[in-house]
Amino acid sequence: MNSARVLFELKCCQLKGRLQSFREHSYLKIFVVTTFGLLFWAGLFWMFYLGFEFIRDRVPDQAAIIHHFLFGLFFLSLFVLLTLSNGLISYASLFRARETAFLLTGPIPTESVFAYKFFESLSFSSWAVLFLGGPFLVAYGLGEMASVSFYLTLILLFLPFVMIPGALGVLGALLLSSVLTRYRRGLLRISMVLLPIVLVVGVSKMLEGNRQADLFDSIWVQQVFQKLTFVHHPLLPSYWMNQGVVSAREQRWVDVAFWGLLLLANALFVFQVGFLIARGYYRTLWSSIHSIGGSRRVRAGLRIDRLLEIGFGYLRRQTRLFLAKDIRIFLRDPIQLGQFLVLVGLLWLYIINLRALSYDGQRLSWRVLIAFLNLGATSLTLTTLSSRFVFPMLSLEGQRFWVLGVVPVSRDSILAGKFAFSLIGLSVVSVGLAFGSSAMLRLPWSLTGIQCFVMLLVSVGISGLSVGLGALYPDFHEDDPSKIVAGFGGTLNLILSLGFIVMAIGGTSIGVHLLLLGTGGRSLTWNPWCLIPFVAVIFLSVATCFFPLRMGRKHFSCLEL
Amino acid sequence: MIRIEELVKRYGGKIAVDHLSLEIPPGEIFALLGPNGAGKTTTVKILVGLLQACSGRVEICGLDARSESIRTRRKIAYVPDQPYLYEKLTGREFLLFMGRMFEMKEEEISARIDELSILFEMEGFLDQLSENYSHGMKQRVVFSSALMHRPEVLVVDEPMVAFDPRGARLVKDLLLEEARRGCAVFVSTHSLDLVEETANRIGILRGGRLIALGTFEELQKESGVDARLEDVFLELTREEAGGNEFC
Repeated sequence: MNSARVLFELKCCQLKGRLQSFREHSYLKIFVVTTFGLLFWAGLFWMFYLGFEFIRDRVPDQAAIIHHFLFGLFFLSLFVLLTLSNGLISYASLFRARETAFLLTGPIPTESVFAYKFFESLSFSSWAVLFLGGPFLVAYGLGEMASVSFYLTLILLFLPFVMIPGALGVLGALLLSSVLTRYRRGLLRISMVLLPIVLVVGVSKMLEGNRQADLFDSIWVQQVFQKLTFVHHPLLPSYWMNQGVVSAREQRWVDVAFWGLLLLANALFVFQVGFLIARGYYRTLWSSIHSIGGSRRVRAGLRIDRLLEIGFGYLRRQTRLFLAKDIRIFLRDPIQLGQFLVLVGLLWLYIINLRALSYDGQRLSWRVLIAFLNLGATSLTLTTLSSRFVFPMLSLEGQRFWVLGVVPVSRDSILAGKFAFSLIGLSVVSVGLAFGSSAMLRLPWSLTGIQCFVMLLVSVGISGLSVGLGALYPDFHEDDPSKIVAGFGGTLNLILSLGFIVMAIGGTSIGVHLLLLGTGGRSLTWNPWCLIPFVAVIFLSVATCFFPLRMGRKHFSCLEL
Repeated sequence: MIRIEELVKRYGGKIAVDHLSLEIPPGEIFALLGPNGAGKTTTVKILVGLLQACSGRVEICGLDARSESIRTRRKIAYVPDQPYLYEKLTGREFLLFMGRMFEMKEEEISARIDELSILFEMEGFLDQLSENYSHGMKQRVVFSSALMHRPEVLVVDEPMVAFDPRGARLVKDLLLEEARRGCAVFVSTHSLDLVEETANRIGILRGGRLIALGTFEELQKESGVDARLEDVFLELTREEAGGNEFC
C-alpha cells in the first residue's frame, strides 16, 4: 500500500479517536467553547462590517482603492504571520516530535514523512487564519452584495495561498536547522552585532519627524497610500490573492482562474523544492540536530540568581528559586522563545512605524484614541502570551511534578514563583510597549503615565488569572502546551482574560475621556469624576488577580499528586 | 544479520561510539552491555537509521543501512525503551497501521494481530484508546508492532523496563523464539538476568569502545572472575565509575 495513503489513513484514525474522546467531555465544556467561539466570530464580523460601512459612507469615491489597500495589507500580514508560525511549528514537528522519530524508523520514504508532517503543521498553523480571515472576507462580501460563487472562490483561492507561506516556513526551518548545526556560534555572534544596529535604526526612526497632516484629508490619505505601495508589489503572493478576491467580487472569472493558477503553481513549486530538499537532506539534518551538544557545557546561570537577588530580594528564597528555574527553561527553549519574540517583535515593529502614518501630528483626542487602540492590541498580545506560556506552566511540570511534591517547600511558593515569572515577563513587555506607543504619539507625560500604569494593572490581572486557573485546571498527563491550552481551563482563561481587558481598557478610556471633556479634546483638565473609572479599574484588576489565585491556591494545596 | 564496521559517532567534540566493529549472524541473540553513557543507545539509533555515523558502516542483511535505508528498514524491527503510541488510536488500529506500513496483506495483518494479541495477552485492552494504557500495556503493543512483519533483525533497547514478572518471562521466551526462527536479535540492556538467560554472545561498551566480546564463559575467563555476570561486568568496567552521559 502507498505510504502516503497509509499516513493519510493514520490521520483519519486519529481524528476518529479525537472525536470519540471529545464526545466523552461534558456538554457544558462543549457548549461554553462553542458559544464563545461563535460569539468571537460574530464580534469580529460585526466590527469588520462596520469598518467597511464606514469606508463606504465616508469616502465612497475612494472606497474601492481603500479596500484594495486593506486587502493587500491583510493578506500580506497573514502571509508573514503564516510563514513565521509555520516555520516554528514545522521545526518542532520535523525535528523535535517523538512521532517523527518513530516514523523515521519505519519503512517509508523520508520525503513522505516530511510531506506528512508538513501538511500537519500547515493545517495546525492555518486554521486560525481561516477562522480570523473568515469574518473579514464575509463582511466585505455582504457589504458588496457579492454572489455565493464569490465565497466558494475565496475558499479555492485560500488553499494554495496558505500553502505558499507554509512551504516557505518549512524551507526556512530546514535552512535554519542546517545553518544552526554548522555555524551556531557564528550565527550567535552575527546576531549580537546585528541586534544593536537594528535597535539603533529603530530608535532613530522613532525620533524621526514627519510632515503634519490632518487625519483623513487628501494629503494624509496620499501619505498612507505612498507608505503602503509595497503591498501591491506584483511578486508578492498576497498581491495575487488580493487580485483574485477583487476579480471574484467583480465576477471576472478568467482573471480569477489566472490568479488562482498562479497561486497554485507557486504553492506546488515551493512545496516541491522542500520535498526535494527533504529527500536528500532531511534524515541527515535530523541526525545532525540530535547529535549537537554532547560536549556543550551549560553554565550554571548564576547571573540569573544574582539578578533576581538584587531585583527581587524581597521575595522568599524558594519563590526566587522557582522563578530562576522557569526563566532558565524559558530562555533555553528555542521554540517558546521564538514564539515570544515573534509576537512581541511584530508589535514593536508596528509601534516603531507609528510616525510613518503621521499620527503623532494629529489632535490630542485622535492620538489618545490611537493610543488606546494600541493598548488594546498590547493587551491582546498579553492574553496570547499568558494563554500560551503562563496557563500551561503548572500542567507542564507533568511527570516532573514529584520533584516539586517532595521538596521541603510549600506549594504556595511554587504558585508564587509562577506568578512572579508571569508578572515580571508580562509587565516588562506591556509597559515597554505602552511607553513606546506613547512616545511615538508624543502624548503628554501624564497620559504616558496612565497608559503604563494601566498596562501594569492588566499584567497583574492576567497573571493572577492565568496562574490561578492553571492551578485550578491542571492537566498533568499532557506534555504538549497547545493541547493544554485547548482544554476547558485554557479556553476559560482566554475568555475571562478577553473580558477583563475589554473592561480594564474600556474603563480607563472613559476616565481619560472625562479628562479631555473640559477642553473638547485639545488638552487634559482635572475632573473629579474621572477618579471613579480609574479606581474601578484598579479594583477590577486586583479582584481579577486575587480571586482566581485564591481558588487556584486552595485547589492546588490539596491536590493529590 | 548485522555487520558493523569501524563505527564512529561524535556529539560535538565527544566520542560516543569509538571504532565499533561487530557481526551478529542470523539466529543469534547479542546483548550489548555498558555503564550509563557508554554509547549503547547511540549504537541502537545508528542501527535503526535514526542517527548517522560520522564514519564506519552498518550492514543489515547484506544491505548498506545508509544508502539503502528503506530496504534495510523493511527487514528490521525496533523496540525503543520509551514506547511511542498514538494516544488517540487503539492498540488494534496501531498494529493495523504498522502492518500496512510494511505492506502486508489485509488478511495477513488481521491474522497476525489475533496471533500477537493472544501471545501478549492483549485481548482485554486492544480495542481501547492507548491513552488509557499503562506503561506495560504500551510496551506489549510496541513489541507486537515490531513483530508484525516477522523481521529478520530485531533491535531492542531496554526491553524489561515496564514488564511485570510474567511479562518479563514472555519477553525472554519471545527473544529465544525469534532467534530460533533465524532472526538476529540485538539487545541493549542493563538487565543482566535477561542476558544470562538468553544471550549467545555479550559485548561490553565503555566510553564508546567495545572492551569485551564473547560468550558468558569467555567473558568470565577474560575477567578472571568465575562468578555471575554481574561480577564479571563490574570487574570489566571497574574504571568506569562516574562515566559521562550521552544518551
